[in-house]
Amino acid sequence: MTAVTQDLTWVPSPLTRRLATGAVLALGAAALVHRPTLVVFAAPFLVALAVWVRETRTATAEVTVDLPTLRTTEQQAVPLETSTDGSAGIGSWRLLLRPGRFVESDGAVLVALGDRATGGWQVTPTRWGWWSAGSVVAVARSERRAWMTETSTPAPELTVYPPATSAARVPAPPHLRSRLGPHVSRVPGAGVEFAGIREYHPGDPTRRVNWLASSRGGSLVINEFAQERMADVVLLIDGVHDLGEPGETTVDRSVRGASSVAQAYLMSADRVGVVAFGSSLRWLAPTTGTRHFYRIVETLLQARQARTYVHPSIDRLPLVALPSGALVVCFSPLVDDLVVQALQALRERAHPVVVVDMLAEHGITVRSADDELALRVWRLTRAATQSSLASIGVRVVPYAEVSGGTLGWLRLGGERTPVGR
Amino acid sequence: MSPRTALLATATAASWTALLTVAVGIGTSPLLAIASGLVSLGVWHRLGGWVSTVPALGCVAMLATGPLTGTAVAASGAAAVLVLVHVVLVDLADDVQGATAAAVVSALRRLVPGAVAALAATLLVGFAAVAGGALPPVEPMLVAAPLLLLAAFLLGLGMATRRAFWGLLVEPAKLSPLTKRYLARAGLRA
Repeated sequence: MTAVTQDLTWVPSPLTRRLATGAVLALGAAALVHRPTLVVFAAPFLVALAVWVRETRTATAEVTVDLPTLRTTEQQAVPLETSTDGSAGIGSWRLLLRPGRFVESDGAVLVALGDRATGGWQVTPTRWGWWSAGSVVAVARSERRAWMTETSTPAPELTVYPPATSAARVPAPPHLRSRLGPHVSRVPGAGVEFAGIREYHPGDPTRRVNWLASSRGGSLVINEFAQERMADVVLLIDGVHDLGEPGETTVDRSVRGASSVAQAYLMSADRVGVVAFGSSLRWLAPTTGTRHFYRIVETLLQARQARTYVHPSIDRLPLVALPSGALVVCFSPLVDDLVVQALQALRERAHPVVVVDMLAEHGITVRSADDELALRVWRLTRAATQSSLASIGVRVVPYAEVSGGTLGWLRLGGERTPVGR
Repeated sequence: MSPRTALLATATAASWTALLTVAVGIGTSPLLAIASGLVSLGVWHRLGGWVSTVPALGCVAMLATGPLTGTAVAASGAAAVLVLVHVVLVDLADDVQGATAAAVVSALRRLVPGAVAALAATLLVGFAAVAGGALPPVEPMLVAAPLLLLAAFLLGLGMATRRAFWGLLVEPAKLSPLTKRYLARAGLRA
């Protein structure tokens, strides 16, 4: 809540200016054409003005701007409430909201007679990040409407999360941790997924004896089940370059995609961590839980902040941020060698890596033969980059497959079934 | 009928009455009055606050070209008061959206001293102009007719809106203790 006591500076109101204009015009015309009728016409304007401008005006007013919900997601409207209290001496209020950057509102003007006014708007953020909801402009008129004053009060900052949608399917990680989880591993153990049969050993539970196979083979045989384990997933956001139109830049789309992938893995009880690989290196160690999702999103929101001249490098990451064998899902436009080198370093550490290509090719207009040649060279360069990544075992998929749900059908080796709803 | 509609209707009636009063009072063609009146209808569509000054401009233009008679002085005074009412009501109509009738009436009451002073000043200056300029005598009905016309309009508007708005301008008279006792005995509420 922002409650500001504003010092009021009063100026003549539009009513005063109009009445003065009428009187001046009548008196001017009277002087030109020598008509006393015009002096009679100007008299009530001047006298009414003289009476109305002599009034006491309050020196301060309190304007309160409140955002009951400081956190929201893209395209989700939140209420913004405001109230004004000018004590005595104010006849009417007119309140309007000037929305901040990447924030939209219904644009309604609130009017209220009296020394107090209360109202609100619905503000809708259009882009994730930290944005000011705007400022509330309060225009007050004096009791006799001869004076007016205008104040501006800033609204609190709004934390806008990416859309809270979960990816339909995500790939099952090839390397699983030795902890209980949702993924069916190749290691036999306690589970519900049938894995095979083997000879009975003393100490095996008798309820696992496969009586049909035992009667045919002549010796006791028991059923084996696959162990169910959890996985570590690290989402790597490439923020070195931010390309595209505001609201649809590569970082914007990367954060949306990473958010949906993180939610999908967290819903299946996997551990998810984040590395914001951009102007500054930020990381969050993999953990499970719904609460961790909001920590992830807070880290993702910082992907666009704090520009530095320090080149990011995954060598500076601690082991807890990048556990061995963790699946790395990288959201990148693949336009910088730094990222390509980081992906190669990850493969050298035996991490399975999936790259989601954030650079969309649509909307390219070719106007000349030079443009055509440049486009061909650019496509060849990207194809060479993707080919070099594929040669070291990095899978590159377009961004549409994250939102379209086909990412889950990737086979990364070692997995049994894809994770998904 | 919302307070804003009632205020704008009254303001429009006041401006048209003022323009026609000037046109009749100085005996000129009503074309300029009609044109100014039509332009002033823009206040209904929030075309801009300065549109409310168009009737004043029309009156000034007609008075500047009209004859100098006692009738013209009377028409000028009556029109000035009506144009003042027009400008004030249009200005107030911008801020009454969603307001209660009681709040609007309270806002109007604050403007009454200035309006009364303006009326008194008009009469004073008008009489001074007539007396000082030795102009022909003025028909009393010419001064009273526009104001009576506006009062009749307000009365009709109040009756049409079941006194929801303009009826509040007149405070109900207080009943005497004797009358209250009589009503209580008769089983009626005071």
